[in-house]
Order: sequence, then structure tokens, then C-alpha cells
Amino acid sequence: MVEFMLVPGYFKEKIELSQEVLDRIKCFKKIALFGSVQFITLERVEEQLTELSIKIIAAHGKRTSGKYQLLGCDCFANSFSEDISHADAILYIGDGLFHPKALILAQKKIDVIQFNPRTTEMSVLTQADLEKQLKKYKANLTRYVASKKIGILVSTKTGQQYLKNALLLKEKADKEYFVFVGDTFDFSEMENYPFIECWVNTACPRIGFDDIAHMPKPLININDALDPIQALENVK
Amino acid sequence: MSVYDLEESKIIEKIISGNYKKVLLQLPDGLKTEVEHLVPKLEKETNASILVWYGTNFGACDLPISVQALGVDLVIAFGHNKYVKDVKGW
Repeated sequence: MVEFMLVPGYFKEKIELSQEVLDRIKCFKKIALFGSVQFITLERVEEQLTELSIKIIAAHGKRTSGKYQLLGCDCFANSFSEDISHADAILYIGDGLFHPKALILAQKKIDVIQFNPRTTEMSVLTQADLEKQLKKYKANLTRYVASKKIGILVSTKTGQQYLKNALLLKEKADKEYFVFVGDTFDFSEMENYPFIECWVNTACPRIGFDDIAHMPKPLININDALDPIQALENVK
Repeated sequence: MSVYDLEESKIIEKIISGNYKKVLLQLPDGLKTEVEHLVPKLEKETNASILVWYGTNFGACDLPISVQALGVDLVIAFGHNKYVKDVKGW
């Protein structure tokens, strides 16, 4: 039996917000604070926010085990331990765009201020930055409703196996559904099934947002496939 | 020298004390270059064969269970911590 050991790779240096970030956030009263796992040792950041009389909303992703921790799949309004919609701003500590994008997808209202402790640079991610992606997803939803033959993708990855949900959709029997199983999805494989008009993803929800730009056929996520009319209402 | 704490001493102790023979390292893209020093170090300090997962590591949701067929007895997954899966869905 194989055993697993998880090594988060915590950032070794002390994380302290730059003056640029402090100037940007000083006008806010409540900030939702997040970091990816490498960057969740935030004692100094907590002190800095407190010094500015800013209340911290510590709403970690429900599936995480670290304070302030966010996963890339935390991209829904109900992904967090606390409601973040009443925050004046969202502050994300970490590098890359994958995690801060999740925060925009989750609430589509408040900008995400990002501080990268490795470079000490600040950047701001807004809904406008994801507009193209969101428009494409909306178009895919419309095409799903009109499609008759659907391919449902099920991953064998340990934490992404949702065959049960795929079969739940298939049971609806309102369309013709085909269930496909794989590990990491190579989307060029879609071309081998030209009769499929639209795909439904049950693995990582970010596939439905981040990977759709270059797919040959439309794809939507399973939660929306189960209730496409509501999903279309949500993206209006 | 990495800016991230890769807990090398803890890993070496784990491999030696558990007498693991085939150890697979799995790293996310941002840490993949660390194998250049991790593999020789772990091979020098332990008697285990150190293998590296070539594919994806999207998170703790993406652990390569299939390597059991190769006789791997320990997988060290870097860059992630415990993930609590909601079996009902997202």
C-alpha cells in the first residue's frame, strides 16, 4: 500500500505588506484576506491591518486546512467558511493568477488586490480581466441547452472523482448522454468524438472557466448542467 | 537554496525510519525545478530509489495512486496540504 506525505513548501521569509499596498487599502474597513498554502503565515500582515483599524474577514476555503487558505477550486459564492460579499476589498497574498481568479469567479463584484511576497509587487485583478472568459462560458451554456448529444467527463484523480454526479445528470434522460473517463483530460481527444455537441466537466471546476477558450466544442460545468436555466439566470 | 521550506530533513527521516524503498516525488509546476537538487540529495542520504512524477500536480486532489503498480511505497507530494473533499460535489 502506497503512503502519502504532503509537504506544503511554506515561504521561508517573513511576509510584510509593502507601503504601496498599505496606501491602497487604508480607506477600507473590512478586508477578506486570503493566501495560497505557501503564503498563509500572515502574523505581520494581521498586525499591519489591525494598525490601520481594518477588520479582517478570515474566510478560508471550506476544503482547506489552513487559516486564510484558498484553493483554485474555491470559485463559488459558497466555497468559503464565511460570506465574503460584504467585504470592502479582497486581499490575496501569493503569486500567479490561478488563485486570485478564483476569488473573482466566486463573487464577481469586488476587485482582488494581490501582493506577491516574492517580488513585493502589488497588482489588482478585476471582473473586466475575466470578461472574455465569462462571456464564452455564457455562450457555452446557451449551446448546452440546445445540444442533444452530451459527453460527460469524469476524472480518475483522487479528489476529482464525481462519477455519481455524472450519472445523476445521465438519469435526467432529457438528452443523450455519454460518460467518458480519464485522468488528466487532453482536450484534443474531443475531436475523436465528433458526434458530441457539448461537453460537461465533473472534475476540477476551473476546467469550465480556464480551459474553454481553445476547446473545439463547448464545455460547461456539472453544477450548471444539472440546472442550466438557473445557470443562465446567474450569468445575466 | 529554495525560498520555500521543502522539509528535506523530515523527508529523509521519514524514508529511513519507514524503510521505504521506492519513493516518488510529485511537485506542482512552480516547484518542479527543485528536483535537480532534491533527487541527488535524497539518494545520497537514503537507500531508496527516488522517482519523479512527470505529470500534473493540480493539488491534493491530484495524488498519483496508480504508481502503486510500480511498487512505489511512498509518495511525497509538495506544494499542498490536507484537502477535505466534499463527496457530494463542489
